[in-house]
Amino acid sequence: MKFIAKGLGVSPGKVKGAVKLVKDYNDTSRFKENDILVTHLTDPTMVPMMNKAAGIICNIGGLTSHPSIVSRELGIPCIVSAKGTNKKPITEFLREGDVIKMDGETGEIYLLK
Amino acid sequence: MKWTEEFVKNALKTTGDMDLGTLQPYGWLEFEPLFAKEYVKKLEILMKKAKDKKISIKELSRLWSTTAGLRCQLFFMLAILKADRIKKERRMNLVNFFFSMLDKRAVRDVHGTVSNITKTKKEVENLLKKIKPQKAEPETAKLLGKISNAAYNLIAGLYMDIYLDYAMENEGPYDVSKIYGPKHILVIKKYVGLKSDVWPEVKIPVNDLLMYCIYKDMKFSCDMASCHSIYEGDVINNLIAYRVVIEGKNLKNKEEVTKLLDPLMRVCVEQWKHLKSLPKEEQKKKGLFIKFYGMRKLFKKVGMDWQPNKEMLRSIKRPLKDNKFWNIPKENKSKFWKKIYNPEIDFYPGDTL
Repeated sequence: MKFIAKGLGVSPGKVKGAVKLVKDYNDTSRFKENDILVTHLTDPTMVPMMNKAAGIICNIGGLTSHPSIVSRELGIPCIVSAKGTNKKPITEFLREGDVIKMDGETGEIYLLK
Repeated sequence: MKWTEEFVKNALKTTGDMDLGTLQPYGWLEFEPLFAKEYVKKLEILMKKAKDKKISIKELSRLWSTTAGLRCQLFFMLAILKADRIKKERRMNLVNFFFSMLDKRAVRDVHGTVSNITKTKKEVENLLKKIKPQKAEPETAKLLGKISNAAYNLIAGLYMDIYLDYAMENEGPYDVSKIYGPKHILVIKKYVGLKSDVWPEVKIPVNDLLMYCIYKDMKFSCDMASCHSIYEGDVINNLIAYRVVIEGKNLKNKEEVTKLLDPLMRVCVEQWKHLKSLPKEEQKKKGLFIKFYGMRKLFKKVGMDWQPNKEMLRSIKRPLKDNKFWNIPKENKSKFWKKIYNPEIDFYPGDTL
């Protein structure tokens, strides 16, 4: 397990899952139950994906941003304003299919495989 | 501390955690100054008519669908009044009128500093007798979370980010330990007025959806925007009882609740796409109608048309206001906004600190 990225933890919980890089609602059909939704910032067209997600990670946002509010209601971990160890935004740092562990309290992200 | 100072302090704490640039399709500081003059005039007529007709503040306060919506509108009004350089006496008349409604409606924590309490203990007890919450399992909590997500996002599409408090609020926490034992709270998740007249072209499956959630060993708090909820504890495993109420009727079982999810998710996605696909000018027009639709019951009560008038529709054709209009300084931003939002101080957009 390797520490690879960090952001602001805004909804607690620790989960493991496969990264799904999401641009918009066109990604809905390929999003699977318990994938980790990684996007710039969630919007309402992503609701079906958010409802399947094990966790949510975004490039931007704060404690009261859209993904933060939604995750707390869903009871799933969420990290916003996340960046890789090389300071790249999380959507440019993580790769599709990376298996990661995220901690919605500390904001830490680890690569599992 | 004067209520104005306390209110502004709390409002700025709320917005301090927000990235206002992410508000869709625009923020209140960009949009509302466009129709400030006519808005203020309309509210002054409403106030006069309510007084002439001897309608009590308490009665008027009950005409808001949510307490959070009233708080939010009071906050926005503070900026509008300054944007149009309304004189202090007129400013104070209006804000005192709005605050007196808020004061009547909120049972405690009027400013919404950490909670959103609008029911007395007795009212909560009577409510629980009426809705008879049923036992919850973790799977039920997950389902409620998904419905809540869909409803909240649908409202974002129907009322836009800036006016969503008109139609949604989290209420609570209410201490229900007398009924359920120590460390039990009730949180009410309200999604109301979804079948909005502003969007007659959209088919919405439900108008009023309320979710009553009883948690054990949980803490709930929020700020002035009650959707900014914070839970301390496990929202999935600590939900011990719930009741979903649609159009005033209790849903009987989990199967009935489950049926809500797919239609809500579908319409929430479609509505957001619809909103975003509208030309900017149409989005502004919709925003103006939403602004007044949220206060429709007050206008109707005093015998006024709730809809925006022609002057307002003309005025919003101007470009949205940007930072140049507000003349936001690079430093001391919080001091700047404190002065802008404080109705007692003659400090206006364009003024220097």
